[in-house]
Amino acid sequence: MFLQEFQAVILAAGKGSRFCEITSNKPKCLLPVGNKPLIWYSLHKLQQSGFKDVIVIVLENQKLEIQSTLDNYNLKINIEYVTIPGNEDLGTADSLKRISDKIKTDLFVVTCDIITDINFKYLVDLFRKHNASVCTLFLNPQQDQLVVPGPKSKYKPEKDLVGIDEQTNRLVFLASISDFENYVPLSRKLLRKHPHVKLHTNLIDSHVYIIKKWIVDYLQQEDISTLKGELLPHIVKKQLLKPTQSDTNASLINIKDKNDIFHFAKESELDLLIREKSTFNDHIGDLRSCYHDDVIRCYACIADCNSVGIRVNTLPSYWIANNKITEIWEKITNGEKLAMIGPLAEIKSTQVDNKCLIWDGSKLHEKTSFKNSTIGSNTEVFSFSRVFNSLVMNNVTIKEKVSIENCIICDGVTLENGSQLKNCVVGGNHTVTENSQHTNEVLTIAEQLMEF
Amino acid sequence: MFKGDSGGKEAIQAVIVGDHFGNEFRPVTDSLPFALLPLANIPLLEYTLEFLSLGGVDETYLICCNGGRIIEDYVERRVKNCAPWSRSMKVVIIMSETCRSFGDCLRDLDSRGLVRGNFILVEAGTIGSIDLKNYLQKHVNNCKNDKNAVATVLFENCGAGNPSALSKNEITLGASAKNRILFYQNKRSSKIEIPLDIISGNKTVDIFHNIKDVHVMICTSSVLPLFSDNFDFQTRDDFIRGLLMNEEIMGSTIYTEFIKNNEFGVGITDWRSYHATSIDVMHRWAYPMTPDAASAGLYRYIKNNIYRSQDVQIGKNVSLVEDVVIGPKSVVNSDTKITKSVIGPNVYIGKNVKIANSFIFNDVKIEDNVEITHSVIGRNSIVHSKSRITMGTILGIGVIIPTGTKLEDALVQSHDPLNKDPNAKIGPVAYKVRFDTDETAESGKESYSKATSRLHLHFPDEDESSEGDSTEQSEDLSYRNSPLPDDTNMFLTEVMDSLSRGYEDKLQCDNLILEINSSRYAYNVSLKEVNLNVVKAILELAFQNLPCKQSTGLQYWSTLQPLLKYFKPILNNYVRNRDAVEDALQAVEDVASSNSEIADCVVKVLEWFYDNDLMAEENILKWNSGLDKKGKLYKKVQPFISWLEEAEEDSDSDEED
Repeated sequence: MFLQEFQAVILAAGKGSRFCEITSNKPKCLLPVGNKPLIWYSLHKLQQSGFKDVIVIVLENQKLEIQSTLDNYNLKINIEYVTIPGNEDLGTADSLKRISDKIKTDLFVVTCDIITDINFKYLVDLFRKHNASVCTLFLNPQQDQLVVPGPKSKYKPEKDLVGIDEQTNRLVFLASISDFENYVPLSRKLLRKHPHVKLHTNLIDSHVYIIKKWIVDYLQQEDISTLKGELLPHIVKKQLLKPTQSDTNASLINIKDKNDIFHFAKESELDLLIREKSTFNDHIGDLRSCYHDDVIRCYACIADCNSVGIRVNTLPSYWIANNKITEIWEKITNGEKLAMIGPLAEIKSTQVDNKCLIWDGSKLHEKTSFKNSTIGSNTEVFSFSRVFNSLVMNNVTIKEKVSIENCIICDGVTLENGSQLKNCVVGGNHTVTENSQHTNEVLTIAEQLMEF
Repeated sequence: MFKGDSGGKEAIQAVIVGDHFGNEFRPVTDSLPFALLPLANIPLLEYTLEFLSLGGVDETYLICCNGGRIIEDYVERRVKNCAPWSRSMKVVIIMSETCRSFGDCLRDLDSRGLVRGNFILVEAGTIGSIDLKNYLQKHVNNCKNDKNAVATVLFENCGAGNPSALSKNEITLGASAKNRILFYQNKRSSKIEIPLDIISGNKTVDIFHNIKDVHVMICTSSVLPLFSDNFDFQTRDDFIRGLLMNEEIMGSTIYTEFIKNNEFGVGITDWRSYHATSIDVMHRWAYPMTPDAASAGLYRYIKNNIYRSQDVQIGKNVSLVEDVVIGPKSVVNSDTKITKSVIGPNVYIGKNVKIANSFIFNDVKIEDNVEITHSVIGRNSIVHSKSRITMGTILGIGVIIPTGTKLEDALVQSHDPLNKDPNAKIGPVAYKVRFDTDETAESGKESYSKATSRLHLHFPDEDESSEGDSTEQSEDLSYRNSPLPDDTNMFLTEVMDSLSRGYEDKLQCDNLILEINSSRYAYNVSLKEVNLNVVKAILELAFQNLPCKQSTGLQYWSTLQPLLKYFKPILNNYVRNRDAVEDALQAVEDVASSNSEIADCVVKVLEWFYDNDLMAEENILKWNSGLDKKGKLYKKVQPFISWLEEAEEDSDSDEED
């Protein structure tokens, strides 16, 4: 059978633990962004890139909900769902381990929480050009300063330290800044090989990786549970190593090297021969052969500053994604028009501005006012209420004389008469009492949060 | 013609610090100022002045310290002779004979108030062909964007692992996106630690390694007062480090620029950079400053980068291989071979001389059958026949080396140094000297650093592998990521440690045996290897206890003998059966093959084993038959073997023995 060059995998089993306020009773990948669930953007991107099939890894208990939701969206790409048990705390690498028997070729791993217009071609080309072991895509941070709903806590992003060789795009250093106390040690050997390394501190990992098949095999016997946190730094470090060359004691080595990374990372004879015959060299200066004969090679691609790339894994990024989705929609979907108002929405209000997204099945009564907001399906807003700059999910009931500004209202919330909310996050199925006033708060049913 | 370019604008000023302030080039610079040290037979200062003038400088201040008068005379003479640089550039000599460091010179300059605007700061050893105006403009732009900018330092990017970048120190530079220097380290270390606040304070930090200091710094006028304010700034490195460290207090920033690929720049700071630059100049990297151009018509440039003066006498069958400069009026006699070397003017070279990677200054006489590699021969010296001068030996001025002398890694001067060291005297006009430089601090690796710090260019391949994979990453991962450290080797060092400690503290041999046995189990070494390594350890231990590094077999034997005597109980314990004897012999063979000393006295060693009944005749004879018949060792052992065979015959004939 003809094998595809890559197999696409979407990791959608994340619990969204970085913003559990709104993910406590909804799969992260189904959070609404604009008028689509979050995972739709990854699927659409892969479909656009030419993938015909995709494996989506989901939690067992969320599979039905996700599957039934996605069936509504008429995606052409074939989705194969693979479940992993939800009760264990499994990382992204664990997810990959579970599907290793389905993996026949190199992997194109995408997370369910990326919204981007970056053409994956550049990444794929980089991977192909250098016959890389791993290729990663980094995003520039979003510049916007928006007031994020919830308490005014200083939001501290997790910062990565990414070292990239300026000449070759080799990814030579990857660590979290919090791993270091006073000094960041760089080995001399590394700098000798890569005389100009640019250390980036503000890049965001897109969690879009192209991974060689052998890494999945190697993963099987390693105690590694996450891709970004453990596997990538591990592989990046391994680049400096050379295979042990002791043929003398062959029998001895077989026992020890079963687990050695170079047991897995082998380049085909043909590849080596081609490189030997080629005049291409990735570096100048010394007279060493191309890539210094490194077997493991990691590359990184940094997205263009003007491109859109949002990683929706925190409350601020989720908020930004929702605020910008109407603006970036055409870029992401390659010129499609965004249907702002669902055809089955029942709108009696006259004050709905052109930045609002109203989903099918929502019901907006007379004398309500909406500005720059998203209203989910089966949500009902009664008279004399107004919703500004807010995100209201599905099955929400907003009673009379309610005022909402800059808020996220999750599924199944009821806002009683006269309540006023500003800069708040209201967790799923919560009821906000009559005439209450809240600013900069997170309102949830406490027990749900306890789980995390 | 550059004058025309600058038009009515301010004149471009440059400052040359005309001395090196170190012992690095002694004894050659004992009576010759560093600025006039010839490189490819042209004084360094000539290159520097030419470089500045071609770079567009209008006015140069030359600060002279040691031997200032000589430099002044030289400059005046050159101006009179219409040297190329003198046509477009004015040179002002400043005598600062009391100055003892780079910093002192700049403080002195500050007090004179001569320099008003931006200026280009170079050292006497700076050679280059760089369009300085371009970088001056960049510096001005940096100052415009950042009011605190005081200096722009030029570097050259060498690419990965370029040998000419390999000075003793390695520079690692951290720069911001706008080329501001954030981090500067000028020392070689296996881990480079970059402060976290630098990294977290900037969006990106460019880390540059494998870069070469061009020794050109473009300064604003406030650099001089900064030197005056900080009396502890002795060198340029002090200045850069001090400014980076006390950035908040001083409020000054430094920028960096990289010279273009087609430009060349280098600063000569030690013999290694001298060597590398000589080769570069011969390879015409410093064009237009090449030996044939600098002294027009004097040299003929022939293929393989050979620069031959017109009036050189060359005998029959002389081979000039490549990269050779031979000065005027020199004589090279027949069968001599010269490669990668510079021969000064008026040098006499005898027959069958081999010169490689060496620098022979003017008026030197080298007699027949001499071999000179990786060495410098100062002017007026005489090397008598059959001498071997190798491994970074530097002869001072007027040294006379007696016939048949062998010199390795030595500094030699003509007059008696005041300390009365009997070993120092080589001949009536040749004394070994030492200069207390910073190198002595790291005495442990002294021999290594000496051998690599002078002319002995040491290419990076070997240290790359010795650095190894094991050290790098073992911190986080299990055994898999590094090749297993060789247990047997570790065992050997362990045993050697035990034995040397035991010998020093006069410990009981029984206890040492216990110690060795426990090491044996710790490293899981087979009995065979234990036997081998114990004998090996004792033999190697003698090397550690040798009084001096270069020793003869006799000296070695005299140190080994007491050791053997002392450790006899241990040997008795391990070398007790036929197999063990074989192992012991193998150990002798191993050690002998890597050390000439023991090879010389291998007979004595074997005899000792034989006399103490540790080895039997048949073992030794059997071992001998397995030896490589062509090897050196085999030849050395033969007398003993024939004696053994005779003895055997004797004992066969007379029963009483």
